[in-house]
Amino acid sequence: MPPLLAVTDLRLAYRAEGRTIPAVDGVSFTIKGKGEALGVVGESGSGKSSLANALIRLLPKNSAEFSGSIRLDGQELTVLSDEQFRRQIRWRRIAMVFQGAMNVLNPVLRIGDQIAEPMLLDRAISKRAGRARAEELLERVGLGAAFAGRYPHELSGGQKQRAVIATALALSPDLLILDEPTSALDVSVQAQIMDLLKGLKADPGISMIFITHDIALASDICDTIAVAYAGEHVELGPAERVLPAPRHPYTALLLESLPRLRGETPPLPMPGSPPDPAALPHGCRFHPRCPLRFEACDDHPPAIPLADGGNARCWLNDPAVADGRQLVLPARDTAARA
Amino acid sequence: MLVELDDVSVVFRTRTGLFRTGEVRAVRGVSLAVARGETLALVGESGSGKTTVGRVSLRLLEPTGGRICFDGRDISRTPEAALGWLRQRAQIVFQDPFSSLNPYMRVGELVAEPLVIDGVPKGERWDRVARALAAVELGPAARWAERYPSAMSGGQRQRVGIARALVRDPVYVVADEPVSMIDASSRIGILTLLRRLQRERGVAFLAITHDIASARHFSDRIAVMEQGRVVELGPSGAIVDRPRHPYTRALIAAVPEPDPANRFKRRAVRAEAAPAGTPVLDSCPHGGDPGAAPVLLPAPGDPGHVVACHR
Repeated sequence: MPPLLAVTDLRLAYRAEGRTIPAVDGVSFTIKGKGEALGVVGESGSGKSSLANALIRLLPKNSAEFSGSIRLDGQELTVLSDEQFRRQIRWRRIAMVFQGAMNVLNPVLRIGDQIAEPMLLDRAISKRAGRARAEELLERVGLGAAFAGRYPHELSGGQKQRAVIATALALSPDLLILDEPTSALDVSVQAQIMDLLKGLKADPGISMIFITHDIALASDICDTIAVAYAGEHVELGPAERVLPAPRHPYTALLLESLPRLRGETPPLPMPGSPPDPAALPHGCRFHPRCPLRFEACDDHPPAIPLADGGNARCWLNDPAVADGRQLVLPARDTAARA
Repeated sequence: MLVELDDVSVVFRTRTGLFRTGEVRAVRGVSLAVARGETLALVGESGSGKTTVGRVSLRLLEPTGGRICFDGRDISRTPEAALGWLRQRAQIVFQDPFSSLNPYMRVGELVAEPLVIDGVPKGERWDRVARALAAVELGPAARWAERYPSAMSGGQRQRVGIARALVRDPVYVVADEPVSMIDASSRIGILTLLRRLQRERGVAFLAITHDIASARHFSDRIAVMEQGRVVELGPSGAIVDRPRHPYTRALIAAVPEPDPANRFKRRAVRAEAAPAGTPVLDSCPHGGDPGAAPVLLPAPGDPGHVVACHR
């Protein structure tokens, strides 16, 4: 059986001020089947939202280059025309919850009508059936059918986000892309939305691509974690391995910068700042910020395969190049900080 | 104590209809004190009243009831015209560095603006601006001063916001969710900077946040607010390691930790799990009566740690 989603060497670049700016640069990953979640973790500008836009093919007008392969259940999507993609794939097979979507609900439309809208557009079902389906979806996301008659201003932030998730589920997609779905919510509401997503992942087994800048939040739902940096995925692997034993210094520094609830170990700031996407460093894109850089980093590292089926773009994973060097972050002065 | 709030309440009037008005009791009998050179984190969710407490402590709002003292002077009812001295010594850092900086002003102008308002002579301004920029690690100052906020990251913009607050050499700064709009990877840099300013310059901070994990590492004490009341207050480590109040416990339970086992667990704990009228302390003088206002009492065996007697 082919995997649900296989992305190979995906590239997307934007044209701005006469220059080509790579946003997604040779990204590959697989989502094997039902109920599997991939987390894409990265800073602003790492290309994680561009990846989502490329997968659901909502590309800005200044897209310059779009290449690579996206296979859904074995079917190549990049050869589809925009019209075919709209009719067959978007919302039907791959749906998306956009960043800040809860703030763009139509204020003069009842929640139920907004959820039914995509179903009615193609006149596939009657208005009555659409309404019934909207109520069913509202039940599923924990709001209850009565919310169908309410307007967005009557809902709290968490309730709006549930309504947005119901809208994405309207056409029973196999894959749901979530771009920072909880970033504007309180921690307790965030935990509730995450529980809802965990429920949808288990039943009906929706697969997910979960985009976030918070690696701790990604660990809450993701089986596999991809770490995005400057358009590339610098590390990919099962959550069970990436979180305790990262194989890229950037991932290791991200984990060091997390404020832990337990223990006195203070979080440490990430050194440096993200590169200008129009002027990426030569060689390894992370090397100017990397405390472990060595001569080999002047050459751009490939995605070096790891034993767990993942990979990492760091020469330290190639024993012939690393020459005994280990991926151990240097101790930093903790007295100067917290 | 530098800033003292004593039984402060804030009531907002709202219009609920053409002729009808309602009341929102945003802050209900809050007593808090911030010592010189201390960081007190005010932790709670949207609507808990934490931002209102921050604003009233700066007298950007007048309290409906209670007393506010700054450096021993009662400022509860002082008219704005007589608060010039307070505006010099107390500052605020806003949540959103994307909307709180004028996009048409260069960094140098933004940081100099408070000095222009204060009538500081032109010749002295640049020196103080350069020092403020250096303090927030935006150097070399001459180069940063020429830049516009639009060409900067969220973390860099927030450093400009902090430099604006620092340029007046304040002794008290309210930081209202200073990192919630910033990338996770830049947050710790900003929080570390604020901590350093507190240590090196002796600035007292009231750090308003919903992130109790950061509060644990970057503040001396934590006050947890729920529905306009402080429900628990104590040393940061004690609050996170030994929470007594069900709301504090719920807040802590909601924080995701980077653990691959998370995805097999449900984390959402509803604060309502402990209904109103649940005693928190055996010694609750009200016997858990939800009609009586809860009082903060010492948590047994934990010095400096107080908790609301009932919910």
